[in-house]
Amino acid sequence: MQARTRWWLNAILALVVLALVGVLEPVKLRDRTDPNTGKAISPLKQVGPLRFYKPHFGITLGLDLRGGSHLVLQAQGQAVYEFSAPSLTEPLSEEERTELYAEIVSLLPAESIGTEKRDVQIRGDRIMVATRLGENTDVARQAETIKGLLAERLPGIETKVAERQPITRDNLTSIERIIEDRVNAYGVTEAVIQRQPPDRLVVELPGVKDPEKAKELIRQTAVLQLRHVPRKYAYGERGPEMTEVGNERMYTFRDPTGKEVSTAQVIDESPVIVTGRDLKPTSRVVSMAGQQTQVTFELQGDAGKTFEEFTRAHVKHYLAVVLDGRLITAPVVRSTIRREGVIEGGFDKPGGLEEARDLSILLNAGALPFDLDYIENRTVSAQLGQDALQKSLYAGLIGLALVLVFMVLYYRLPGLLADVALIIYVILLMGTIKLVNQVLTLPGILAVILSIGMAVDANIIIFERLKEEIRTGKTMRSAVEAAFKRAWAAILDSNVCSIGTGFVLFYFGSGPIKGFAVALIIGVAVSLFTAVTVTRLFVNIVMNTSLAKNVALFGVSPREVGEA
Amino acid sequence: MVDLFRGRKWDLVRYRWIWFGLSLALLLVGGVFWAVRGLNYGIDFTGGGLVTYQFEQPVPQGQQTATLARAREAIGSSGVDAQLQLAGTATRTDQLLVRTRVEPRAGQDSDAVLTEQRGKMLPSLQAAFPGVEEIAGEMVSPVVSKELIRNAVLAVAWGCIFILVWIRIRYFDFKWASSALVALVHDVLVLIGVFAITQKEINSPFVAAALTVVGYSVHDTIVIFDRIRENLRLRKGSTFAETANISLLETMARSVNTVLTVLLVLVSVYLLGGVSIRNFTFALIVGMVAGGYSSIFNAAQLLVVLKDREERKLAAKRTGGRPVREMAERGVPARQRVRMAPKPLAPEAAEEEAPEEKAPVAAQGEEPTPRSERKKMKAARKRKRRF
Repeated sequence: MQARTRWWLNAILALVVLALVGVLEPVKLRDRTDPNTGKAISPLKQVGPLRFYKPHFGITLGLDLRGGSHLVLQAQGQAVYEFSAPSLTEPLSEEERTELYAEIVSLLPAESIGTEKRDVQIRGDRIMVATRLGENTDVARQAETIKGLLAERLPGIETKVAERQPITRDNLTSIERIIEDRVNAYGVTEAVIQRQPPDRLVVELPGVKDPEKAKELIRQTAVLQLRHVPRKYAYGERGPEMTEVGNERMYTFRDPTGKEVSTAQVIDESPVIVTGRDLKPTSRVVSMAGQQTQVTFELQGDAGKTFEEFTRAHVKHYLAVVLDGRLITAPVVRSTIRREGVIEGGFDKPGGLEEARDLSILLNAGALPFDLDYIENRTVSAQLGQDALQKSLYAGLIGLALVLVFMVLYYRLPGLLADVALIIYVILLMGTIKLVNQVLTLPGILAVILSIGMAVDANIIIFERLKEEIRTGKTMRSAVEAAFKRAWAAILDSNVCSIGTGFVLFYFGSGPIKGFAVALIIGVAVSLFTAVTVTRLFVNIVMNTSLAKNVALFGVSPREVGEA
Repeated sequence: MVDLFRGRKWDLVRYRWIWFGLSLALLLVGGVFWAVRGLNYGIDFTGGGLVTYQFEQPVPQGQQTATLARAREAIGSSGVDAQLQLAGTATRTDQLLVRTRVEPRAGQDSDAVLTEQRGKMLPSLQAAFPGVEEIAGEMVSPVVSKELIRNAVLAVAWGCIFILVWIRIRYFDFKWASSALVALVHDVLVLIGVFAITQKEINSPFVAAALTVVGYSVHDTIVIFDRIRENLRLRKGSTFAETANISLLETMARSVNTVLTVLLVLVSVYLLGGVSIRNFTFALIVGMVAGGYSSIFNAAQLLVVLKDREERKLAAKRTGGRPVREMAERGVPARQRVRMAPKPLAPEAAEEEAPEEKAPVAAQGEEPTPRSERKKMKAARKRKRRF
């Protein structure tokens, strides 16, 4: 055997072993987190002693195979209106304000403004109304309608602002972060959330027990609160102890006796000062050399005054920034804050900037009362998924076996070699899917099975050619040479077309169809390698043995040689 | 196993109008069904809800109509307007598919509508069929379905454009590319036609199937084209039609075997695989068969038609068209007309092949490929596009 041939053979063998290890995962090198505590393991320990596991199928399966919900949410923008009401000259008391609020809401029935959503705020002599921004919402007309409806209660009302607020890229990022938090808080592992700009999010929830509840939770409007942590739980210079797990801050609060108090209890006992509604969605990260990294926030309307009064009276007290009932961070009040404030400290460490950005996103998100609609939902029970997986794998194996038998019967010895190449193909294909971390969906499995049928195509082209070349009376070696060389143009052209249509499908397809496209593209690419290179190698090896002298093994009867 | 196609001397090219006719007939039938009965679009394209229920026991063959009627009654009593259908594998019918409309209402998005409907349907179904379970629920809002339709059309269009451009780059002129394209369009139309006839459901996977078929059918076509291209160089004495026929025969075994291997796996998936990919697989099977047929009997044949005309025009140019027209009147087949078409350089050769013909006729073997063609081939070689 030539050195070159041996090298190739070893390389292919190594690839096959790698692919098998990757797919079946009998050895795991890295457990990034401790399964018991959920805490990160030091990189040194990760390498640790190699552990051997019972082989299992290591490719991530799509939701249609293991059960779960594939959801697409659409965030709805807002139409925002501001009216001046000259009749509201006197500052309102708390009761009057509540009463006026209820009155205004009742003056704007859903039927007359066309949407269920109508958020009303009263600030001084200004009335703000936010409605849902539909595809055909005419802002100017809606402003007139609202003005007309409110005119009887608030004479002399004037429209000041009427504008569309569609979902921006940043809004979407904020919403994504919030949903991520909610999904994690709900305890769904391996949920996948993807942005689909401009205004959509794809949420994949594998195997949730109560999908209805999860769905409701996901779409709630974000509730952000700034709460005042009672003095008894956070006192002194150091305040609550903070530990960080990954990117998240965990606080330990203690009562005056030094006993630990649960965070939930602290939040419950902390009065709300301002909410996300009082924040403007203008928070950003300020990071300059020589200065502490800061996250800015800005309050709007009366909230600025409220917050100013509060902070003046409570310097050195702790605040709790709470989103959807979860403590995000607990900053201390350093000085009086009017409209604009900053949160600083703790961001000047590795990864701190990231954390600051997250906080700013959350602050903005808390100020984003956007409606979320489900526009697509594909839910499959685990039972159905399992069933589909088993059936399609079974069908695929039968199909593979049929192709293997067909190739041997029709093409004899080269067919047998192609069969070996085909089995290598299936292993390498799985390995590549694992390598690029492609999720295997049901259409994906179909693509894999289909590509098995297609992978032998290149071999069929070559072997048909080989037969012809042998018949012309060439020597075996030059016949092989010619067959591979002449077949290559056709094989390349046809596979380029398959890959091209695969990419088109990937671009225009959605969800599971994308899985089909990716599997098909990978399949065609890998098959180019196995069907041409690997088969070629095997044929070359056989050429060096006495088998090559027997043309019948190549599907050509001896008397045909030299005929054509 | 024997080589079925070896040594056959069929003249496939001669009957090209019959092959076209067969395709057209099928397309016509499909078109009529499409026009009369329409296509059975699934929720991806119409928007709506689809809930799958699993019966505890498979429904026996004879009782399907009765079961469906009972299910319809049960769902009707729950006040949900729905379409029902039984489903299952080839041997086992044990699922009930329920399709509903889910237009969003004020304060309720499409999903909430479906959730409400599901809440009503399950108890009534369970009352009628104890042990029935809900195993899958899908909802596509009308917003999404509009986009899916748009994307489906764009995907197929772009796929075809890509192939047109690629073949144009790799083969001499647009005659090759457009012949291949017509075959692809044929495959897609046959696919739609068969789905119109069988009234099977058309969903997003159908589009994936159509594109896969397009990609695969062009495989076949390219292998044949590649052989024609090669034979054009080797067989300079023949007309294009003859070269094409030889090439078709030479590649026949490969064309058939390739479709066969793909069909082996597809049919096994169709028979043994789950319900959810049945229509997908069916579309692939239909498309692969159509693709195999169209590569041999449409793409290559259409190319012959186009090239034949080119050759005739070229011949006519040399003689002002007169002898060719005369030959046509005498009923000489087109291929021979081309071969016999006079060439100014060789006037003596005329008597041998067509003695009664006054105009000179070219000796066989000279200038068979049009000059423009050869120029292009030469240019292509220079550009080293050939592998």
